[in-house]
Amino acid sequence: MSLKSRWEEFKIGMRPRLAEWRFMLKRMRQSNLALTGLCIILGFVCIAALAPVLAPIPAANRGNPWVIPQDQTILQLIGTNVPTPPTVEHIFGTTYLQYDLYYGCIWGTITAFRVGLTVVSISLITGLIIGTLAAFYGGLIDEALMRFTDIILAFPGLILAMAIVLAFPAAIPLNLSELFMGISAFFLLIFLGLRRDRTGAMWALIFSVILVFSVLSYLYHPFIFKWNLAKLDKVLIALTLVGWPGYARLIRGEVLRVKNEDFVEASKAAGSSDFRTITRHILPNSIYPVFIVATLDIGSVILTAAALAFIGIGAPPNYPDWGQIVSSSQFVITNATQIVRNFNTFFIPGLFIALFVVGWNLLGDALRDVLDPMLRRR
Amino acid sequence: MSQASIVEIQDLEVKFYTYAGVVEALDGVNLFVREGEILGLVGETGSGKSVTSLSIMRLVPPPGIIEGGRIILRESGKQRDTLTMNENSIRQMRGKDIAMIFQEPRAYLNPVYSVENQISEVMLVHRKVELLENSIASVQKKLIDGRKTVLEKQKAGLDKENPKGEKEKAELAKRREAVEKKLGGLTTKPPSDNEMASYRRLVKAELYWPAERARQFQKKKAKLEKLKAELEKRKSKLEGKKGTGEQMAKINKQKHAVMAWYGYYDRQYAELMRVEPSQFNMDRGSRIKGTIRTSAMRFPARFNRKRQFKAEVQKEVVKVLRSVEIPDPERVARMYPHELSGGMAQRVIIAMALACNPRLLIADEPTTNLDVTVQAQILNLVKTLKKNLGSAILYITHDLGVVAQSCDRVAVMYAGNVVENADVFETFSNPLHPYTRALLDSIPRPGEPFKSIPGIVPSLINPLKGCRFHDRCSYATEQCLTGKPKFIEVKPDHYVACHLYGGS
Amino acid sequence: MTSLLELRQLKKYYPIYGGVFKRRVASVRAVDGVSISVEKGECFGLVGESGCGKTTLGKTVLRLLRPDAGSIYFGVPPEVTEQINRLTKKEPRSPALRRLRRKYDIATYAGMDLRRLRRKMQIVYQDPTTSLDPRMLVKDVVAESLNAQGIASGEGAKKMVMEILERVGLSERTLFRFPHEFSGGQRQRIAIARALVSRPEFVILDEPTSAVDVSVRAQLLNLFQDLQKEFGLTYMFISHDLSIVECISDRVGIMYLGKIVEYSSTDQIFHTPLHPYSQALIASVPIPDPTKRKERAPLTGEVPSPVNPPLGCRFHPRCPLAMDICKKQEPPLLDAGNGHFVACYAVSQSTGG
Repeated sequence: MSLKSRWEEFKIGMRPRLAEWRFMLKRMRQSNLALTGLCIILGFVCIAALAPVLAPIPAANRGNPWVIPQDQTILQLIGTNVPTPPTVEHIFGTTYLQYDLYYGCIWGTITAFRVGLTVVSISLITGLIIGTLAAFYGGLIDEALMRFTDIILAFPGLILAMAIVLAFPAAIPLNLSELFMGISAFFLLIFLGLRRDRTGAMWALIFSVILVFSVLSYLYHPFIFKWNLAKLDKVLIALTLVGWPGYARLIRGEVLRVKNEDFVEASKAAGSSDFRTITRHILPNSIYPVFIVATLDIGSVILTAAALAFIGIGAPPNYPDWGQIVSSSQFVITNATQIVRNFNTFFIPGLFIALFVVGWNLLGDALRDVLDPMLRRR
Repeated sequence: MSQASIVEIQDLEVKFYTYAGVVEALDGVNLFVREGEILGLVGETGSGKSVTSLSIMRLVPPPGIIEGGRIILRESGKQRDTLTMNENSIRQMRGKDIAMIFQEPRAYLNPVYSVENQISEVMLVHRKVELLENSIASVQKKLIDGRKTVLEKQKAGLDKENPKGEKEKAELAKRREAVEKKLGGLTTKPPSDNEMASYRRLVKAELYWPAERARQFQKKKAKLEKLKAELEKRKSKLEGKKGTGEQMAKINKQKHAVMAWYGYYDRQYAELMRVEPSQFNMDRGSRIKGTIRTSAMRFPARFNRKRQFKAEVQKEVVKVLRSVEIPDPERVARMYPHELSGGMAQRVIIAMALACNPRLLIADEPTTNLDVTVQAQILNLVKTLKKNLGSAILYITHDLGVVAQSCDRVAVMYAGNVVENADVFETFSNPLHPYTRALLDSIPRPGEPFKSIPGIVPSLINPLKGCRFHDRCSYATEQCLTGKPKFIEVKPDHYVACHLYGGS
Repeated sequence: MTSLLELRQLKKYYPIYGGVFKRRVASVRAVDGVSISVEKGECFGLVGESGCGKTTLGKTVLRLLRPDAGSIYFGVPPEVTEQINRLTKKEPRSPALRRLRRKYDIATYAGMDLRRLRRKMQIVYQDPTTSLDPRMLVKDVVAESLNAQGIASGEGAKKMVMEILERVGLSERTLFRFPHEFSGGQRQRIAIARALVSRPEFVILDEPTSAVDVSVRAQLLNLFQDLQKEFGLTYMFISHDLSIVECISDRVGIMYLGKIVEYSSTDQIFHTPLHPYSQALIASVPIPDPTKRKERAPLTGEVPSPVNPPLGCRFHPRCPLAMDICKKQEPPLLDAGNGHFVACYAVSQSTGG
């Protein structure tokens, strides 16, 4: 069997992994709950993808989809504090400021995905790096990093997120020159200290060039970039900062378990560097529980964001975000006469949130059931 | 085959229904263990020896199902098929008639309970009544001995006296007669049914059932109430009495007695209310001489029933630990599993298995994980146990050296069948089945190249038709591909399953 | 005398931390002063019971663990050995000795020197299930040292991988599969291929046949012998199974509680064991011949814990020949004649040594 090209080799190489994936999908097909979760999430993905078709951007917004249209006619007729029930024109009705619920919920799907995926991916990566370094090197590094993690975990998550959101300024001036200076100096030191061979020298050269340029620019023409933080961005940053310690702890436990396995030592005996051992051996074997937690976490992040929006720390009132829409119906909930007539204002976006979270939870459970026999089969 | 065998397995079939397919683990296994004999069951991984041993106890884990065959247990002339017994009978059989020990000793000891606790657990399941009767008998014996010494002292005292007058002499004779009668009347009489029932309830209550404990609490409380009522009555009766000096003295003495009893009642009541019902024992805390009649058994205060029973159990535990040659068994009994080394832990497991004197001991590779010097000690112990207790042992291993050193018979298994079964000397000097021959050849000898059996251990998901060994057998014929050989007696007491010897 | 590997007073302790401040309160003395030499091209058997430190010794020699004291001289040419011996005796603190040590004593290696050393020394583990990464394809597993050390990559690496797989008896079809799809014996062959792909000089075999079936054991042992002849390898065969060690090793060393108690050629050790522990150990092995049965276990008691080994000779509590001096001083490893080294006062007294 002579392999003709790298593409052929790649295809053949992927075959056993594809067989594994197929086995995984078969297991998922057998579980009803898993299918339900998958359908729910796929449904939401479709809604998000077809948002411009399902809820076309009104001409008045000039191409900006992130503003919910207000029905001006009803606004002038009734006023602001009376939401309307579903009609032909507004399928789900309107909120008390006459924002179209249908539009808000459809575009809110995109926001939900954005919030969930951004927060979870960034906190996952951060937690992963910190947890892996702590577990692999042990000793003082482990102690220091873990105590730092513990400090963040000691604060109640929601409260800390609130504090961060409120304390963040509306715009952060980022001095790019400083940033590049710092980063290049850091990496330069690392390469000077660690890798004393040809590739290390090459990287050291690259970083020293970057360092020189950034020093020059800092002195003469600094690039200052004003990062305007929308309110939702502040929430994202806050949730990321609060969420990463969980992942750090989780991956630390897994890495500690895998670190003592024979094949890691065998990899060291074969001459792998630490980086290679971690990336090619330890991480692929320890990352499964993290994925499961991540899918469950997406749901929980959405709920937290909605909670923050309910308090008032979140997207502005005309932003299509489920949590924000629910928060805008506060007055309906507290008013006994309106609650039954206008339940659509909180029930419908609430239903969206609930379905989204349930979908991710079922998917996470399904992943765990599917991955468990696969791990055990080994 | 069936002469004097304790366990006989006939045509056992076990299948495992897994994700990957149906694993035909056992395919018509025929095995027997004779009385007082050590049978060595040899086979590689995947041959089915562990599954066979688990099937005898009906402990095959799911997704395994015993599909066919019979496992016959013979006991004093009667025989029963364990595969048709119901759950209760099986549970009574496990641990008492058949006991099992496993490979990794420390995995089979619960780390949070002491050794004593775990061994006594086994004993209490099966031998509780016997131990209870033993403890009652020992307490009664102690009591009787005590009373006997007292009475004999009295008698000696009486003998020494030498009265003068007629009336005193008659009195002395009467007293002497009374003492002699009491001495004669000292016998151990077995406890009546009521007493035994209350004993059993007490032991069971305090060891297992909270409901029983609660009932005991209520009973004691009721008795204390009755005591109080009685005391009230007496006190009121005494209050009003007056009399002369001597009568007054008597009345005062009675009043003091009532006061003392009141004190006792207060203490008992406070203790009852403060302490959890299970912890209280009926005879503790009495400063008053004499017995307290709180139940049918009239024991003096210093013989606490529960404590006696516990002492009896402890004695048995130490006895069984000593029988497995553990040094200093009293100390070891109080230790926890993590303090034991591998060899000691395995001995403790053997002790647990022997706690109820089983007729058959199944040992599933007990020395594989132990050092070779410890293995020699344990093998010696097994031989000693066989000599002293006379129990039959089914010893599962893959090491032919161990088999040669300690077993009386050998059974060789391959891929779910027993292929040969013979006396150990016969097997090593005259192996008939090709697999046995290959196994004996593959024992490493210095100076010679290593001989191996060609091929690999077969997967049992789609096993071969016909004889399962035919693809690795150097004597395979056409017959072997299609027909499965029968397990027959080729020479006296030497059984083989091979077409070469007429197993068609 | 071309000794490929020479250990001098090698020590490896594992610290036990305790107390409030997690200070080092005691040490597990896994390897406590081992001095042996392994000749080029031979198979050196290292025997002992659990807890004696043989696996730790193997891993320390490979520098997977850092030794706490002692030296490991690997691949030193004979003239340099003489020089080192001379300097150690006369000027132990000279800078010349230090320079030589830094060059040849792998106990002092670190960083890139250590990584380059990996090419020459490899290890085959006991359990093939855990020693192969379950998520890597066989071709990646075997090619690991080639990629990690930059010896070859891409096409060149693939060729070397296929060559070595063929040599250990596996077909090309195993390349693109996962290790768990194979049986125990085949997995162990993959592990052997991984160790040998970079053509090392010295391979440590850490109980390579304990976790496989009896029928496969012989195949693997034959393979080891063939590969040794073909590639000119030097083996250190660590095992607790004396019958295999007797058949495959040229010289054998017996360890007890971190020290070598006897080492010599296989014949001498198995036919005339001198140390009482060796005698008991060899007598404890069950012989597969029912006509030769023993009535009593040769050795009583258990191995003491390596944290607090007995003072003096470590075997004296269980030794039938223990004398007063055994309780006070550790016996040195002396030559009892014919290159048969024993550490026992009873033996050295009887041979007049």
